Amino acid sequence: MKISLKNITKYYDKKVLDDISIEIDGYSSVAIIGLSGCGKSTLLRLISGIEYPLEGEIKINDWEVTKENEKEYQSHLGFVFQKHNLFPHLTLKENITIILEKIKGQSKDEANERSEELLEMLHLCDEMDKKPANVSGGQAQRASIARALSTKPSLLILDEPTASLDPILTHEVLMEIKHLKSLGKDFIFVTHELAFVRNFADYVVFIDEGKIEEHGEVSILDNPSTDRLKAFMKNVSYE
Amino acid sequence: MKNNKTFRDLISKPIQFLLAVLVYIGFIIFVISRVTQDNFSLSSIFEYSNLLKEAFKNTMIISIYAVLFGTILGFILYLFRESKIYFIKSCANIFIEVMMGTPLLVLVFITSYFIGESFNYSDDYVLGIMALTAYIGPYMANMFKGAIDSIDPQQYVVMDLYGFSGYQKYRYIILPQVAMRMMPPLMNNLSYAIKGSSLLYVTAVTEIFYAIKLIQSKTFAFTEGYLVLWLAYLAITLPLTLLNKYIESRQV
Repeated sequence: MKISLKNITKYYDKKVLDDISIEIDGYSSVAIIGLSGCGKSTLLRLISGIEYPLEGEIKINDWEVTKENEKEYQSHLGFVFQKHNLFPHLTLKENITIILEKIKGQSKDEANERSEELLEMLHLCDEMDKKPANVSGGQAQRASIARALSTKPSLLILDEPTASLDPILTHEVLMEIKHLKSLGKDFIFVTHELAFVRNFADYVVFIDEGKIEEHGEVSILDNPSTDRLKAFMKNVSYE
Repeated sequence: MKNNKTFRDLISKPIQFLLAVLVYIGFIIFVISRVTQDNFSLSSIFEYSNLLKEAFKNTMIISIYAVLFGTILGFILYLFRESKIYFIKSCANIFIEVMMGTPLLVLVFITSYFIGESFNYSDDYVLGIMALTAYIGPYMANMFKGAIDSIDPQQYVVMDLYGFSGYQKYRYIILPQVAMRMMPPLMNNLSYAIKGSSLLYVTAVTEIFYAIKLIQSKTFAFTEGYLVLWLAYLAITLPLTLLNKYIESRQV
């Protein structure tokens, strides 16, 4: 995967991202870490084309992330959010089939087959006909992972996929994500689970107060060179 | 431990409910006995049962059409009000504010005698349904807004990411959720329309109120007429209320 960010600046009420530039090439799983409010989720939203920067250019693989090719670009992405964001009036299975059938134009049989296959892969055989409100948070989040995979994306974007789950459910969901690595897809994700970063990521980007403070292979977590990352690692190791 | 049982414990709930009903029936009988000079008899009213049946049917048809069209109008008003074009937004806002400030009786007069007249149209049934539709539409628009606003904004993000078109968003995701939430207000509005349709008697639409007035003028059974009238409305609206409560209880 190639990620190229050039001079990205983003404001809300104050500056959230401050002139960020980075080139990453040849890694398939990139983690963005940092304290709450450091701008990491914003960066992920910009990379996804959900929002656009005030200034700067974003290029992911061969796509320029712009308003013009937003649709084309996003059709190659899969998303998992903090909350599962499943449609509440549909069953887990219908949450997938509605996208395959109505939006992507697959036949009913195709959509059913694909959704069942994915839900089985995520161990949701018995839950596929239940509505999101009637399954656990972890099951719903797994279903949302299945939904993200349904369109066969080449890049999966995960925004703190376990932030709203308790430790046991977190483990359950992270185990499933780990298995996805064998699918040969690219991943960009934001998380607070450092153990998961060590296990799953090839490359780590540490953001602090809207700037990229340090980045490199996962080993930087053990040998941080900047004071900020040292302080961050020290704080989280108490968790 | 309390051993002395009170009224509350001694008598079961259904019986207490019946007693409460009896209090009101007693009051009604008292009032009727005070105002009826001759023998109280409903038979003269029911000599016109065919007229009553037709009127009952008309009331229902008018009300159902009014709610149906009112819902459609309400959705259009909602969409207009959400429009980015200020002219369209204003059209909806003005309509809503004016209609909400107008009594239904005035609206019925204006629709039948002025608007109908100016278009050389004189079917009072259709004009009556139009008046009720215009009256209900703004309330439905507000209910659509409430129901649609209660959908989590994140769902829109998801829909955008998966490439839903505007139509697909409403058709597959928003309206199905809204429909569930709209059932109770929809039932309320039907009850509203049924009661409101009584005002159409001013333009001689044969609905229940008009029919009773007609029967009263022929039989002079005024007390009986009003009693039947009242019970006829309750016979429709009370089951609706119960149905509504049932639907609400199932949604939780």
